[in-house]
Amino acid sequence: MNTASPPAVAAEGLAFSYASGGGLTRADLTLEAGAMAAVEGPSGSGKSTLLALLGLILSPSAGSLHITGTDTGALAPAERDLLRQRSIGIVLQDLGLLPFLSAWENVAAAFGPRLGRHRTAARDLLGDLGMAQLADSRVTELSGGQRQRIAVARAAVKQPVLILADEPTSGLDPKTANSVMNSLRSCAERGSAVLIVTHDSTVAGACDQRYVLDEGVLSTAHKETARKENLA
Amino acid sequence: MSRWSLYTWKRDGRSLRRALPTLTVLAALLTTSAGVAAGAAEAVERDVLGSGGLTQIELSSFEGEESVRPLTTSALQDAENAPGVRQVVADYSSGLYAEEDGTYDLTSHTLTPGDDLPVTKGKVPAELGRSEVVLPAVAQGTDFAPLLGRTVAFGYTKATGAASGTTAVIKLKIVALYDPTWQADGPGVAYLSEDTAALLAAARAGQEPEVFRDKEGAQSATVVVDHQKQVAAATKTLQDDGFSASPVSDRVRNLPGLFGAADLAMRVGVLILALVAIGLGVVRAADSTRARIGQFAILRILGSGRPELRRILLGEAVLSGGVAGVVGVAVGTGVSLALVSPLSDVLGLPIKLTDALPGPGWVAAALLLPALGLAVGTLLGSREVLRRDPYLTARAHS
Repeated sequence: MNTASPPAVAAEGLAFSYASGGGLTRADLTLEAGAMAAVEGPSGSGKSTLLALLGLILSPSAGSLHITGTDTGALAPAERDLLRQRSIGIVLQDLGLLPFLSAWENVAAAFGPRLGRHRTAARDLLGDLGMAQLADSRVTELSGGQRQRIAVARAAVKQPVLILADEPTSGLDPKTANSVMNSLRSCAERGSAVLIVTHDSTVAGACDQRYVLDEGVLSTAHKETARKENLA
Repeated sequence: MSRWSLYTWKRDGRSLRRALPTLTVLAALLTTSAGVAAGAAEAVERDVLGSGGLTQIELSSFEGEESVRPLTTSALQDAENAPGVRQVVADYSSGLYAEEDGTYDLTSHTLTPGDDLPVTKGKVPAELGRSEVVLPAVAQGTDFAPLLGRTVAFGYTKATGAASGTTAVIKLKIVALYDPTWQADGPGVAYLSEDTAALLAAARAGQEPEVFRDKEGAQSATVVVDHQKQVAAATKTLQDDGFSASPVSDRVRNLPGLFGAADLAMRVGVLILALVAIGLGVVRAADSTRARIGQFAILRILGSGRPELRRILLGEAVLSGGVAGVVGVAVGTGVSLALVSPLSDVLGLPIKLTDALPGPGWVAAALLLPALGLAVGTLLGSREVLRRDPYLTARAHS
């Protein structure tokens, strides 16, 4: 009897095309729990579309997508939204945080609008990330790096199956970028599959798996992962 | 409504909260108008009905209107014979002017059971005698208080030809004075017995009173029935007899003129409130959604579907409209109550505070329309902006 857990993400032949043209031609991707993968590609290659598909914001026009074994193509829109809320954390470089909430409230927002119920979890995580003193700050008072780390905390606080990070270190100084990457790495170590979309080869090099997206087609860049290199 | 609405409405200046001041002012204006109109109508109704209006029917004679029966002696006799009718008092209009002291020129009318004069001095007898008169306390600069209880010579016109006449004199005892701000029949009216009023009207027409009453007839008449229950049947009988008859209670409750205009104005006000709320919803929702597309994108990635984003906007609309309605009704009612005293002075009638409370229908309109209108407008206004997923819109603009 096979008792192996299904992969966190299994995408096969995933495709999407916009009415105006462009999109994603084909993406095959499997991420196990705890994996950390990077997707590299030039602008307009379909990275944002891939992220929106994996984040269950867009529905694919072809192919299949399973999240921990659940066939997302069989879900109603409301069920997809619920699955995204429960199982997926998304970090966006330029769409950061909700400006009308404080830092801890932004983190607690990952659970939905009943913020008070998740105050402790949010504050504890900010403490773990060394940002306890920022918990009550208005997000407009925070630096770009601090905001990005809070966005990571928001994505990680519910320990989702999958964390999608879009250019999480873009515009950050090396020290802050390293801190953000360490936060994402710790999420992977706690069992989340992490997929990072990046232009930065240093960031991609710090991941276990690397993919390249070119003209809408996703392909594997390196089969040997950094983790294996480290183990060797 | 989404719970997110509570945060966005309270904390985000770009939310639909911006519609709050306009809707509050409109709701307050509607409530104030309703309260003032209700106060005035209640006071007038009480004044009229208080003088036995519930058991009275008014007969009118429209000059030149052949389908309406003239109020001649025989016609009034017929009216008096109608079932349930206890009394018929005809009103004849003419004029009295100063013969000795003063320069006044007063309109004269019959004192009918419908005239509930606010007497300030003296006493109006149960039935006014032929040589008695009730005057306003002050008219055209003449203070009648010193003349109260005295018999005074008044002048009146006696026609002698088509365009000629002489002054005749009648001596009348001033038995009571009333508050001159009470002007149900106009300013400066002298109230007389039916016979005396008919005498003056006949003289002005150059006729003998009996002839005048038989041929020309009265301007109007008040019919009194024994019991309120008989009003409908008596009115029907009189109408069947060719009279223009209407119950006083109906006339009061459908107050014409000012109150009719106020009612129309309030209906227009309701329409304006609804249209402004919808218009604000359309414009503000579209602008607000565009301005906050990045926020909505974040809410999308946090698990909100597009229906929930609409519910957030609807929640903001309901909160804004609801608060505007509640505050507007509270402020409007307060203003309406504050206006009771000046309104009472203007009308010359006592108005209770409870009279000036706006009716439940108007209150419901002022409470609900801002929220309903804004919600409808929000649905229309946000539809186009939310047609495309906010996440994709925000990404395209980033």
